[in-house]
Amino acid sequence: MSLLEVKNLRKVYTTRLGGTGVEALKNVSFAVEAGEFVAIMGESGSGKTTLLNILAALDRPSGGRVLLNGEDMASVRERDLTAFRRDNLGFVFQDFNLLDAFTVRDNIFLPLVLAGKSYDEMNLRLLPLTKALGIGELLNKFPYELSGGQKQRTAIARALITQPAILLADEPTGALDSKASESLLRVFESLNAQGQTILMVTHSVTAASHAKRTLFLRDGMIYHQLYRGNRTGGEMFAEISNTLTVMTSGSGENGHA
Amino acid sequence: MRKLDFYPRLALRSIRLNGKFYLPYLLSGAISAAMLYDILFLNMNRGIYALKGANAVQGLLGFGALVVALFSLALILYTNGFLMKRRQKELGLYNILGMEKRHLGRLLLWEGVYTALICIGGGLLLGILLSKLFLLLLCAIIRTSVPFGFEVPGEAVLYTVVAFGGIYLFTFLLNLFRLGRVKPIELLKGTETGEREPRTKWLLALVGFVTMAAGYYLSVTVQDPLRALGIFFIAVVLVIIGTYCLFIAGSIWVLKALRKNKKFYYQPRHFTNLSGMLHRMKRNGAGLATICILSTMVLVTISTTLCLYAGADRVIGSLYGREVQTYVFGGGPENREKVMAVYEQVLRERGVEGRNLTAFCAYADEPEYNWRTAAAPYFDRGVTEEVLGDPSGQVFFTYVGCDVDKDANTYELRLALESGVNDLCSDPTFAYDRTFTDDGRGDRFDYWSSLGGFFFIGLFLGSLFLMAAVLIVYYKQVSEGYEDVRSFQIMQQVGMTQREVKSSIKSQISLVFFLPLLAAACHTAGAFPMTKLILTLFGLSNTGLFGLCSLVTILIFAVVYYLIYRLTAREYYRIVRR
Repeated sequence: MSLLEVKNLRKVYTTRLGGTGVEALKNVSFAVEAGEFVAIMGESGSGKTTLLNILAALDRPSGGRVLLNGEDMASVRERDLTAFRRDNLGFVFQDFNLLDAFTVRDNIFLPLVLAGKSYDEMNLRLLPLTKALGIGELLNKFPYELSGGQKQRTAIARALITQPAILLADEPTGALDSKASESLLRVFESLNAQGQTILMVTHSVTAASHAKRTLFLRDGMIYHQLYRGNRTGGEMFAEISNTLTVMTSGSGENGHA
Repeated sequence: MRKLDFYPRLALRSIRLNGKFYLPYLLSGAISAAMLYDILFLNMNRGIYALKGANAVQGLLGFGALVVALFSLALILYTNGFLMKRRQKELGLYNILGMEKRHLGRLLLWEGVYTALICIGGGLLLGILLSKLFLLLLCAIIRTSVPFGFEVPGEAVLYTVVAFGGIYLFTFLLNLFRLGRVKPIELLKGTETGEREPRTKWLLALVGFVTMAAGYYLSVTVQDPLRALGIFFIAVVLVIIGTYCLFIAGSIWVLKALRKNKKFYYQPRHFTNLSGMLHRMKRNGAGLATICILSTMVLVTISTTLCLYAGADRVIGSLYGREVQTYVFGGGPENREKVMAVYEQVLRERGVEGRNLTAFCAYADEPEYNWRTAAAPYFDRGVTEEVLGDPSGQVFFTYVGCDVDKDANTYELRLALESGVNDLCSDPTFAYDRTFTDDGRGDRFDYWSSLGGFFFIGLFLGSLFLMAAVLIVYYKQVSEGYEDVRSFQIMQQVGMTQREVKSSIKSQISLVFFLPLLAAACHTAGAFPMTKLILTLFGLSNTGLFGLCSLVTILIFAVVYYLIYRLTAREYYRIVRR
């Protein structure tokens, strides 16, 4: 059994007046095994965000199913959803979403405090995590005192401290410079090497080339997928670029026909 | 042609676009203008001039008009500052899209013109509509008949237009000055600045504690009513300083101390609340202190004037026990008989029947300021034989007085009695220090008018202060709402249910909201001993009545405050929930 199974997922957005709907996701099926590092690529409007919102249980699908550890997410009751999300999923966002009113430590503690954990237990979990992410020195600082890379590491620590089954990342390198991006992706790789399952949505080829598998999304459908296998980062980068070129020009040909 | 009306149109558009902020601004401006017009209207009303004994009221109204004008200036400047801060981004965008600063200035000019037109025009209209109502209220309070007719004094209109025109011109110039100094990038950033964690300001907190304690100490320890009047203002200044310091620095100190306690802090309920409060106090300390001071002003003004008014019957009863009365200071007990003889003779000559004749000698050295109230119990009985105090001492004064028929002219009667007493005084065997004769009926009316005038001004200014407090509260809630939208979303993403977020925000808002009310009630209680002494200057020494008046005022104010809270909190949720 896969950790995450997506079966025939559909999402239709209807306008408020009930006219013709827009099909954001047409028929998406894929599976993520435990320990995988998957990147989902696609241009704006390809349905990436919709897919991520559904996986994050922030939005409900129009058709199809999402199974996490074999449990259908549609069967989770509305008021248990927050707790379900807190226990199973960790989130990393493009713009970090840290709270300015809290120190780095308290930002990381936030999900645990909400789950009612004791201070000692929180501290116990905090130490190895901050060490691995290299933010041990920053715990008493406030988000506005940090660089972009440091903010994103803090956000990752906050996502991981609940020990989630999957880490969902939405354009995690979107607001970072190339150096900070590179080091963040290395953090993802090493987390993955320790067994953390990661699902990352991105349109950066560099980011995707660090993943073990890349899915290409176009017009609400899975267009193609690439396994990294034994390829180096550079080879993977070229491969992804080629696929994107084919995908984009392909859509152009369709347009002319 | 098109170019000519571009700025006026743009100005109208941006006023409409910022309706959520502009509407309360315009409304409060119009209400202030209406209040200024109405108080000027009452001050200049010929009907009131004609009324006997209304001079005192008119003087008070003139003073009230000055307070209204000055307070309107402060209020409009405050809300304008708030409005401009909110609109920086919009102006910055215009700037980047190619409008130079002088174009922006022209936009601001037109906005100012529209604002002034709406506020002054609307205010005058509202004021004229309400003027009769205020006249009825004033006449009811000072217990006179209402003058007939409906008038719109040109002078009142002129003064209102000049005052508010000046206020809006000043705010426009201020905005222009501010605009001239900022750089476009700052315009664009605008509201996002200032996210620092507040540092504990030890000195400020200490100053707050000391001044606050000193203010309360002065109020509690002062004994002499005449000194109380002077000390009152010192204490008010001290408490205002203390309130600002404690709200700004003291609150942060307390919250930080609580946060240091890990067991307490890291609990789901306290965690978000404490940090949220710290954040809020940093931004709103000064605003909350202002609300607290305004609330205290409302409470103290209304409770004292209400008490004066409610106790007026007693005070007047003790000051003017009879409709005509004579006091003779010094001399001996035989003066009583002699003055009574004058009364009998004058009343007989004029064919007036005297009722409730009261005559007594008061002995011993009474303190100067309440010798009149000391005599009060004797008026209820109509005694002619008794003496006041210890008869073995010296005669302090002799009192003779009586009531007369309703149609008797007490003014002329008083003159006749006075000349009678003067004749008595010209007799060298008549021993006395000084003497005076009152037209009690007329003086009672004068006294009523001035106490009623006080009460009316108290109510009038109290409602103005209340409006200001409401306005500040509203702006605070709305701006915080916009700032909290993001935190609200993040908390939900990190694992807080909508209900948890809502309850957390609710407890924060209500705490922040009711803190000023609590402090204001505290201040009112602290001012109680001092205001009580000041009231004795007006002849009022009924502590129970004053306590009751204060309590009633606080309760009514709390209800009004709670209603405001409900309304603005709803607005807040509407913003945050999007």
